[in-house]
Amino acid sequence: MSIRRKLNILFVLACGFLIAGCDAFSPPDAKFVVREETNKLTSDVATAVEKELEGSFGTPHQLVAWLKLPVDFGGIPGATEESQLEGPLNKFPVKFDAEADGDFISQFQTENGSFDFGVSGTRLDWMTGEYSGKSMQVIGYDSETQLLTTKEKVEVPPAAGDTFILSAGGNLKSGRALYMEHCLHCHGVSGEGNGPTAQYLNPRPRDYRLGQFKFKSTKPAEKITQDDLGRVIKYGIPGTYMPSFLLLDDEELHSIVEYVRWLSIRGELEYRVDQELILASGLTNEIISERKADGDDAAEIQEEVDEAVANMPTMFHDLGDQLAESWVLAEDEGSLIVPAIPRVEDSFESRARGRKFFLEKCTNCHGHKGRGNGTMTEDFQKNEETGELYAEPGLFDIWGNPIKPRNLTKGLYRGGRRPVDLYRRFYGGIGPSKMPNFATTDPQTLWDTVNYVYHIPFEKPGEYTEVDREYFESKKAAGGETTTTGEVDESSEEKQTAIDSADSPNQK
Amino acid sequence: MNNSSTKQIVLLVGLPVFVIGLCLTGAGCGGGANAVTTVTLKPADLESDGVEGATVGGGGDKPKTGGGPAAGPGNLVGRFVLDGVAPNLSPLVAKGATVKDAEYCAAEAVPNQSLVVGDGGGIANVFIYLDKAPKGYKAEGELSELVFDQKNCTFEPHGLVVQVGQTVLVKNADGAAHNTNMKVIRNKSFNQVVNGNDRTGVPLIYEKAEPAPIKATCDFHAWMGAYHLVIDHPYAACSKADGTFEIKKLPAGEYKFRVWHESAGLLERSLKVKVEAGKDNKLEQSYSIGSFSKL
Repeated sequence: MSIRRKLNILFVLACGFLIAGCDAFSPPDAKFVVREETNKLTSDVATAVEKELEGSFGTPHQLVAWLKLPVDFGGIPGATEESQLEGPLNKFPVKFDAEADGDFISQFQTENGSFDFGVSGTRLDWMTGEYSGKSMQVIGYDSETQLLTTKEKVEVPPAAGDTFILSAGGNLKSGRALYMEHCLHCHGVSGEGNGPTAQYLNPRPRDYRLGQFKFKSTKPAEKITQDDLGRVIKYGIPGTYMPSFLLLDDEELHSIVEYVRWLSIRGELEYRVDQELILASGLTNEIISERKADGDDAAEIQEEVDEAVANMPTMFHDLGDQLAESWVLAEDEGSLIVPAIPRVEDSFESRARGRKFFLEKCTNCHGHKGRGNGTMTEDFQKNEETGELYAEPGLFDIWGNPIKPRNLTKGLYRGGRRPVDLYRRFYGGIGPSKMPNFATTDPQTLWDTVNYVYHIPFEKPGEYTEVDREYFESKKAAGGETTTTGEVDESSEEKQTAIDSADSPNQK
Repeated sequence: MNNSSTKQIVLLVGLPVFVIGLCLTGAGCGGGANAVTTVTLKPADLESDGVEGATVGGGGDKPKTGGGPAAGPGNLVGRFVLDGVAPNLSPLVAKGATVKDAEYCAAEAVPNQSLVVGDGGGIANVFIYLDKAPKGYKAEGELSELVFDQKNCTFEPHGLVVQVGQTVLVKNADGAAHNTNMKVIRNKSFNQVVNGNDRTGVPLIYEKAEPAPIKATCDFHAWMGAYHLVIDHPYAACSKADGTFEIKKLPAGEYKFRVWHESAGLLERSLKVKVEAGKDNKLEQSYSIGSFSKL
């Protein structure tokens, strides 16, 4: 009886699924999350920030392509040609931009050579001229006369040279769809690194909203490039939960990269706006109530609030310009870290020089043997937000997550394993993890260190004893030897052994 | 009908229905990825974005010259005083303590500079500045080079006023390396290893004014801290050990100053000060110990 009852319940449940359909089981509506800092702002200002964000980026269902941003939103740009036609009309000659012409054909031409713009037509957005800012629906195209047909008739035909984008935002849309499918569950709807599965992962998924990424090929202060993001998505990050998406085709990969960049700009813009409003203007609920308690004029404060609200679009445009500029600059050739000299040939001498540099600069975090257990991992670090020491010893990244210096004996490099990847890691550091950069170190030393670090997994016991002894003795001679550069557990012991064994021939 | 045949029938009918149901909900309720999306465009420039008469930056204080012939500049000379007893802060690192690079960092006790009170209660390291350059301000002359040094694992000076475009040489007088990391807000990051005994210094140039003083930290020595006030005009000062400060050659007029201290945040958001031409305009501000809430 009990089995039968259970199966009956199953049957009823199954029917329930069919009847209730989507309403009962659909996931919650996707929303961009609001930063904690935005919520601290006084309500008028917070509302203005949210409104401007929505106006500039939209919602996950109604995206806005802000043309200021250096993101490939997709679409086929073109311009009207000279014509003798007079209005009212709904046909005018056009020419698509040379590199977009192929896209136009592949997107809209059917097998029999005619053009199909869908049942309700395809949107065309005017960028310049009489109809700038307006859109029309394209319903036909004649490849011989190059005449585009729109649904609506206009009295004044668009002037020759007026530019437009056909089917704008296609790339953003497909990037969004792919992101929602592949990335959202870890990185979250807004790229806040807090999707449903994020809480189970260590290291945590990246929060894009500070505009900072770890594994990039650009100089320390520059943004990440499209290529860098593409590489991370394509090959994943070894040693983390970031998988490889090698099966995506180039177009899909490009769409995701652009969508991630867009989310990152959106997030950083909100962050920067909040920083300005909090640090420069002090428009948080907390500060305002404090000021009122101190007897500041309420009308004067309201004036400041009103001014900030009125100034919001300008602020978004100004900061948007700055961010746009920095993302454009990242793609500039001059931003890329290019080693000034070719790789130094791998030899024991080169590695020994690298070992000395490693002892000088790297052991605090990576440990004497490169095991990722330097003294910094046992020190209590200060939380820069609160000014207090963290409750746990060890290192933290800018997102406040505990992190471990890489154990270099494993030969697993998150930022890529090509020699140039290691070189770039040294030269550029890893800003968000607080690994310092060595941009001012000479390139030969950096290549020597690449050679040394590459060899750590294959190091024979005692291989660098002589090198270490020389290093520590020269430090001692200079009065600079410190006892804190070793690793936590066995460094001093090993160092002693190193020095002992080097001394022993003399004793005999 | 026995149990097993019932089971079979229910399985035959129920399971496929269940599976179809799941498939249907799966296909129809994809939500995220497959939901209908639209894209609208937002113009790149502000004017075509329908914003009229927008004032960029809100405008700074404008000196009111009182209608007469433009008056010459005056100086602002003043002092910050603590109202109450100075707290006795224990050093961040005691002399001879076992810390990283103890040879340099514990050679002398590292003082806790979160509230430095000098003779007569003068408060050091208080920043007083104009939020924005006065209207009509134009930069004149070359900016001198500043030095930001690190000695005994302490930054020197603790408070530094820097103008946009001015070169700061970040030096190191210790034998051990420091990793100087500026907590910039508007500027590009500066996170740089400064080698031991680097007396040439690594140049640091800010491109933009910061909304508030920014903190300098050293990633190798967690206790180290100092502040830079980065502004795009010269009307700012950081109080000296005795609490005094001087801002020279302010065009005569009325101003609203900001006063900031690391352990208090903003002490004043709009401190009204009248500057008269051709003289030292005096200002003395006192703050109770309770104002320094971050101590």
